[in-house]
Amino acid sequence: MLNEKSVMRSEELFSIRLRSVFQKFGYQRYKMSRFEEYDIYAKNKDFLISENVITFPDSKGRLMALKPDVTLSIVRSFNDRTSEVQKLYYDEKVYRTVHNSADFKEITQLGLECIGDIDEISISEVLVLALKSLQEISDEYILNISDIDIISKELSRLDVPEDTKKEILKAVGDKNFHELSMVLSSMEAEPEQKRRIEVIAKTSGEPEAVISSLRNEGITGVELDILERIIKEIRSAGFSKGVKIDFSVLSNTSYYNGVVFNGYVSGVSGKVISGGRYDKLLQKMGKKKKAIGFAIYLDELERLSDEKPMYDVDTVLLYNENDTDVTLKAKKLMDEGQSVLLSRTVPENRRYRKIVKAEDVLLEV
Amino acid sequence: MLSVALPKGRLGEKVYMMFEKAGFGCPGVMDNNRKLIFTDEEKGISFFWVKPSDVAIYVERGAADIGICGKDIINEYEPDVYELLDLNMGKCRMCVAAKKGYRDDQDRTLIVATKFSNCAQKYYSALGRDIDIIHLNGSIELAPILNMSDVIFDIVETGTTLKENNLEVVSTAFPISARLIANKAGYAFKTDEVNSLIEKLTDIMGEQK
Repeated sequence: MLNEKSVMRSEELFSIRLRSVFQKFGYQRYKMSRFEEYDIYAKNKDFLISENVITFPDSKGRLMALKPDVTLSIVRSFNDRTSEVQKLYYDEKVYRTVHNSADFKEITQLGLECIGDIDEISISEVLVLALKSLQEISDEYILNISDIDIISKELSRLDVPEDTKKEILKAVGDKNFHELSMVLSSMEAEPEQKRRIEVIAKTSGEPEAVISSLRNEGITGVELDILERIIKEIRSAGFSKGVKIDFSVLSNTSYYNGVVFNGYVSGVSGKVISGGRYDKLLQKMGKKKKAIGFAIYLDELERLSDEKPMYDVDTVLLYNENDTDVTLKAKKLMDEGQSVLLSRTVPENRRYRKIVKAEDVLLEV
Repeated sequence: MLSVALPKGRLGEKVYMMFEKAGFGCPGVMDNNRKLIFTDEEKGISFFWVKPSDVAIYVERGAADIGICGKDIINEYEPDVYELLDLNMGKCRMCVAAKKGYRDDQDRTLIVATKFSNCAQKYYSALGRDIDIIHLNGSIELAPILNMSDVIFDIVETGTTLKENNLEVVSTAFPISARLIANKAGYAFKTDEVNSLIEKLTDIMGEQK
């Protein structure tokens, strides 16, 4: 039997479900044009997931790009003088390379952005929306939350070359504790500072436990207090499981700051949600407000779809030139709820439940 | 169920013995037959053997939750995975080697023969040296002997092959050993399982010292 679900690809199904979640929270759809001037991407290459962009000159000779990203366009069009917090979501096709491959792919990307004078409530709401999105996708999900300012603050206290800081961050991101201690022991710094970095890197798991064990280790600060309040908000929104604090979630620190997060669902090998605060991107684009958002990678969900139907079509209706009322006969079968493929020969590459000859279908007179 | 990608060969076998000692053994893994996957439902673990250079791919794509992989492969492919443990096995180093008595002529582009193009590129760009890479798939040592390249960028274990061919190590890029890597999503869902395995493996490594 046909229903909407069997016609839609998983990508389309999730897209509709998630959009209705965002809409429920008062987020408005942002529709963008297919092309953007290349300039905006060239200036913020590091912000893009893959640097490769499809470009072409338009009729006036301007260099245009097939959009590889939506956030940059939203930020550019954001009016910095408004006092209102803008809540937007998008459902767009983007074009970029994936998995180290050199070929471009068209990817459906869904996401939302919250820009303006955002506070802890708006941050919590975005995290709740990320969790709700994960919930729509699968019953088994995990949202790893971190605040990159916590580790950045420790690093800024160190008097070591930038390269060393990068090495430390990489080791933290890879949960590569053996190399982290190697880097730490090879550099000159207070043992206490080294210990703090190691503690932050190694502490992960249930948010409340992580926060209290960090405090026990003497790691305190406004970031941790904010994180605690956000976790409380998330809990009271009904998410008692599937939330973890994990400082290995790192995003490019020249664009992101504060809360960052990655979402996973069981059965998909990569992250399906990725997001965070990106005040620094706004600053780079000459705006003063703050922002947080996330993207959902629907292409990752292709393989998650429920089991494939056994048949492509219920009935193959075979006919020949002498048959009459063929369309009417097909309609009769369709009205009974079957899908019907009209064909003169037995199809070779389609799976069908049964074959019916048109002459055998009786129409009521 | 925890799935483990093991690298075919001596190193993989040694690592598997550690798993077995840690109580995660699975009958038949070491038998020389054509079976590909070995599963022990009760212990909740399954193993499969893959080409060493493919382990990172299996883990990154989530076909395996964890895998055993050389640091050389990790640095070359830079997979998006966690690197959870240094197993201190299969130790060797990534080196620059050249004909005995070779001196680098900073005046011209250095020609480097290697199987590890990405690693070589990163190593030399950190030094600010302009290089030309010749990507080879084996017998790298031949390149400088035949004057096809100035140096080679390759794994050195004992240095015997170099010595026999009148080559010597010029500098070391990074040390290599076997690492335990994990898929990020897999780790998020099986944190406790993976961590308890790592704990046991760490204990065994301590005993072996």
